[in-house]
Amino acid sequence: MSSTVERVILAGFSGHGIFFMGNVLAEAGMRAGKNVSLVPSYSSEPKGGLINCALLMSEKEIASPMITVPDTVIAMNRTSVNKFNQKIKGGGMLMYNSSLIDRQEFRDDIRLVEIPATEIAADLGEQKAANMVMAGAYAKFSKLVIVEEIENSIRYLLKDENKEVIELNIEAVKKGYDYVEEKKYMFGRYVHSVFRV
Amino acid sequence: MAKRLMKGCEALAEAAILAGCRYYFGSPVAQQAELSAYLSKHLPLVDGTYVQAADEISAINMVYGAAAAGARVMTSGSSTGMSLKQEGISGIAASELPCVIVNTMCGGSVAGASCPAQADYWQATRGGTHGDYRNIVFAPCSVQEMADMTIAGFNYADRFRTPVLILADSIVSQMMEPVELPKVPFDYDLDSKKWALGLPGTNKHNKNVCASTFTVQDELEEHNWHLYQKYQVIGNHFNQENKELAIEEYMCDDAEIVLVGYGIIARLLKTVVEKCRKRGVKAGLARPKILWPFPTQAFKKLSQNTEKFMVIEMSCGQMVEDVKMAVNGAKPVYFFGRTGGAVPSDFEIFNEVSKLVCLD
Amino acid sequence: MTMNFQPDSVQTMIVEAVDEVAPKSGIVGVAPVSCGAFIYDGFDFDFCQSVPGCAPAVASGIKRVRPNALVFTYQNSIDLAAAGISEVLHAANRGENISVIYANSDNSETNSSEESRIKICELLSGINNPVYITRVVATEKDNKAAIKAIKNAFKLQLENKGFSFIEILTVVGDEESKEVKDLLAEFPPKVFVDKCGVEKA
Repeated sequence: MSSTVERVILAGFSGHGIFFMGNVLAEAGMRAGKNVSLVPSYSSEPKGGLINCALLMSEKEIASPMITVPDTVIAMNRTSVNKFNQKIKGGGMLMYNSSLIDRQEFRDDIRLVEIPATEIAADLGEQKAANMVMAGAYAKFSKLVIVEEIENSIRYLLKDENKEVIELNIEAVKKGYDYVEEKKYMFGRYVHSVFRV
Repeated sequence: MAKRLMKGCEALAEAAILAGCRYYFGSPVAQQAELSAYLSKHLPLVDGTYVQAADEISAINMVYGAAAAGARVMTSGSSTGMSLKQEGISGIAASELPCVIVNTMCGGSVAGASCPAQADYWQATRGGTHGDYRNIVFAPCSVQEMADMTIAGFNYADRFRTPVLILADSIVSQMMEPVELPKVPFDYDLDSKKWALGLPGTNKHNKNVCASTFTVQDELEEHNWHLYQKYQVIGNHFNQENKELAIEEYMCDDAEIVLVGYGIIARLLKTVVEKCRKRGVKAGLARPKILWPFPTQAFKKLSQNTEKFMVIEMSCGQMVEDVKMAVNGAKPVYFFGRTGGAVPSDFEIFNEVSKLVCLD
Repeated sequence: MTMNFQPDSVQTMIVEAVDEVAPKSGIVGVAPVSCGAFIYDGFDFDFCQSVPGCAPAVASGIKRVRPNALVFTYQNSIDLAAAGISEVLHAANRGENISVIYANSDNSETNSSEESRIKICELLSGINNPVYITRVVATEKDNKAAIKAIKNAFKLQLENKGFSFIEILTVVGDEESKEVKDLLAEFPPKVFVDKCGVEKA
């Protein structure tokens, strides 16, 4: 592929802040001068059901904002893994919240990234910030999103909230980013990464 | 101006405010709840009025009244609501009142489903109910177009004194994209329409009546022919004077097969065209941006150079007949569609296109 | 088009009331469907037609844009009590600052209908927001009460008080007949709601 495109599906239960995570990443991508689109799940889901959204970031103009074969799936719970595991592009990445998802027999042709997001967030004093931990972790892999822009996006999107909430979210992003940087818990058969130059 | 990341229906709402719309009447529906939410928050800030009507019929008739009083006014619905609004829309069209009506289409009849579809094409482009009338129909495919077409919609509504429909689907309405909004808000003068009701200082010498019912048969026929002539002018405007507003052509110059689709489908088709080109299939995309008046002339011209057409829709094939009428038998027109809330994937469409190309 | 008794007479009453109230910044009437749709022919101020039953919604739209204008609807039973019963209820519930004039011609031979048996005044009295609801009787000889009620409603509107509703029971024929007496017993002329005390003033 000549220019860089990142197709990401974010999935979890309602209440995991899936759409906010997508919003933050898309905003950060836009601030970095990339083309972005974010499509929320459009099928009818029962209350408390699975939420997902499709985040597309590209250096080129985006034709279709829909994602059939994602490069990356960020899964917050087991159901999301079941739903999207088979759709990930060979060589793609499954990034999952290992606080809520047990290590199981995943595909061996994708890169697996385990982030104990809920635990990291709980250490900060707010479990709900797990989505921001994941966003920070993703920024370490992404070529199109940088962690500083994520922080700016959070400040912009939460401008009506109080300072503590903003700082908590930013702290969660940093923790997620640092976690990946330290490369703890990386496992799985590594074939090739879509993010490799 | 810096771009803002916005949802389709929020961009539409903001564009409406920028276009001078100060009145919104409607009831919130899932596919466009953010539209109502945005306007209920932002209209009061510009001394506007947001009324959450008890039902869709109330809403469209408040629009009728506000439009008759000379305001720039908008309402929105989602398929089911649009059906309830139809009688009011026909009254607005026949009384020659300007307004903008947004439909974020969802699947099915009656209660339908909250999933995306394009099954309201006929209803939107054929008038919608009894009587000899048509409405201008815009079909946005991106968040930017949701904003641009709303502003254009208000201008055309006033220019031709007719309702303008924004026919979006629930994906375009719900998705987020960066959007660039015009910087200077449009300054709209509420008393600029001399035909409006309740103008200050109205007396017996300039009594204005807003009516679409006529006692004498001849008067009604005359009125209908008057409307017909107006529709001819609108048709000419979008087919000749302002073509680039009516259709987008992508890689059509040497295309052997032209894919036709509107709204979100057209975005998918662009990806499909790129896929086809990579594999040596000369495909192109023709995207009607205005569904009524249909860009007939553009399709007539395309049919001279291309081999065949394929219409792709999220319905059982409603736009096919418009394309067929435009092509007028010169070239075959094929169809592929998914319906009931299913969105075809680019792979699925590509397979269908490949099958067609292999027929030769 | 020949006007039958009801709209024609109510028309005169409206004209008289308007003349007395003399609003300065515009008057807009909203006409119903069926008989009365062409009521605007006889007035010398702005008029708007509406789709069946939706006159209160149309009037709401006009009033929101032209808050200083006098906006009223004229409706008959087929329009108000059948097709548009929800519209009048919701306009009342929103407390729209408009006046609804309901010509109930229950005992007229040409216009009698089942829906005109619905006691709209009683129904609307169950809603909190209206400021003035009254039922008056108008005969060919005496329409003073009706004119006064319309005038009250228009005054309240121009003072931005809120929603007012006048039911004008138009009675044809012998007032002493059993038929008319039964009618008045069932539909008693009275003031249902008068929050601003216009009746006493």
